[in-house]
Amino acid sequence: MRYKEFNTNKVLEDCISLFWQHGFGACSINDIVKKTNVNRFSLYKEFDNKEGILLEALHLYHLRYSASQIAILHQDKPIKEVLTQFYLSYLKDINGHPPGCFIIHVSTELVDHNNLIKIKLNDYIKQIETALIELFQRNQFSMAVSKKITLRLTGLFCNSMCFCLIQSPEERISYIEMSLDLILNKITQNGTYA
Amino acid sequence: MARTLNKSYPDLVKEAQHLFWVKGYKTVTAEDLADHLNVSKSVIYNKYTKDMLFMDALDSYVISLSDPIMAEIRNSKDGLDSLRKFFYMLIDALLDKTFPRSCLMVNTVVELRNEQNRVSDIYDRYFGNMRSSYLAVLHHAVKMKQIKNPQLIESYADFLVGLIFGISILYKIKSKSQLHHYIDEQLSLIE
Repeated sequence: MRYKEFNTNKVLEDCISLFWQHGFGACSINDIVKKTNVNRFSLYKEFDNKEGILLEALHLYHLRYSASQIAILHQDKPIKEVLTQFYLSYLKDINGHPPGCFIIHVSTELVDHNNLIKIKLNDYIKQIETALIELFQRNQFSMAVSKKITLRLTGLFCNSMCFCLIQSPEERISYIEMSLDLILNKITQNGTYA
Repeated sequence: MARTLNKSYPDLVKEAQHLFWVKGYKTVTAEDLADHLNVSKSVIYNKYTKDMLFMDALDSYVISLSDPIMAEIRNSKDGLDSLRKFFYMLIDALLDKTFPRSCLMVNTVVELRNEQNRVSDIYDRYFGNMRSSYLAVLHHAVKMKQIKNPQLIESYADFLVGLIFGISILYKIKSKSQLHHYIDEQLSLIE
């Protein structure tokens, strides 16, 4: 019996870096072979094709990185503090990744022509929406109010994952703070929301 | 016989722009450009390079597409409604694929970030003009008494500039009515 001679997650980590840096379309199988030191035959055997590698890379990214970022929303701290920490967590230097979110990066490139990536993006945004709604429900807001705020906060997530890429660290913080103030200041003292 | 170039440079830029818009910058090779523009590869290598076509494609996006729309917004007398109209129009263009993939400038931000100084200069011009146009609308809206907190309009302008990024993601998964509702909700934050 022949043992698999490479570590799948290590290969996928390399591919996350590669696709994020150069774009999925710009990477050939040869680039992947060079980066991972795994031969073409073994790559195809494990993942079927380049798209198979991408889907697995997105899955690993979600498990290793996004899950802990979304988990920030489950903390019992003041709402604004939790939210600021959540947004800024995507703009920190993690594992040498560029700023932002890999899933948003891949989606910008591919969703218009790739239904599997579209499903992935949709699930991901839904997961963020659910965590946001839960955050507000935990803080005693009605379902209607929680949903209304979540719509705006999900928008801010998408805005900041792109806009913040070209901002300085100080501009990012002030953009996120200003937007959160704008969104959260509409909460009145008796828990209603304009 | 060598092919002679029977297209003007602005025509080539226009066609190249479509290719960059659909595929991004890094994915497009010199061969892709030669095929797409129907010119020989030596034209791309020696005369009109990929970088040159890309920069001019971005420039033309700003000059012929975005600047006129921003001028219209700036001169509009409809206050916040002119912003609503603009965002609704953008949503339509994204959904009906008048824009082949998101907004070209947003795609470029996501793909290249600040990797190239010359591209950063174009962002500054594009987003700077967008911000000052929004600010002109906000000043007008203050006069029309549409805005409760006029002292915040500088922040509002920054907030509004951010919206085009989110729409460029959300249109991929949300329906037209959801997107319109989203814009109404965001604009109501500044009323």
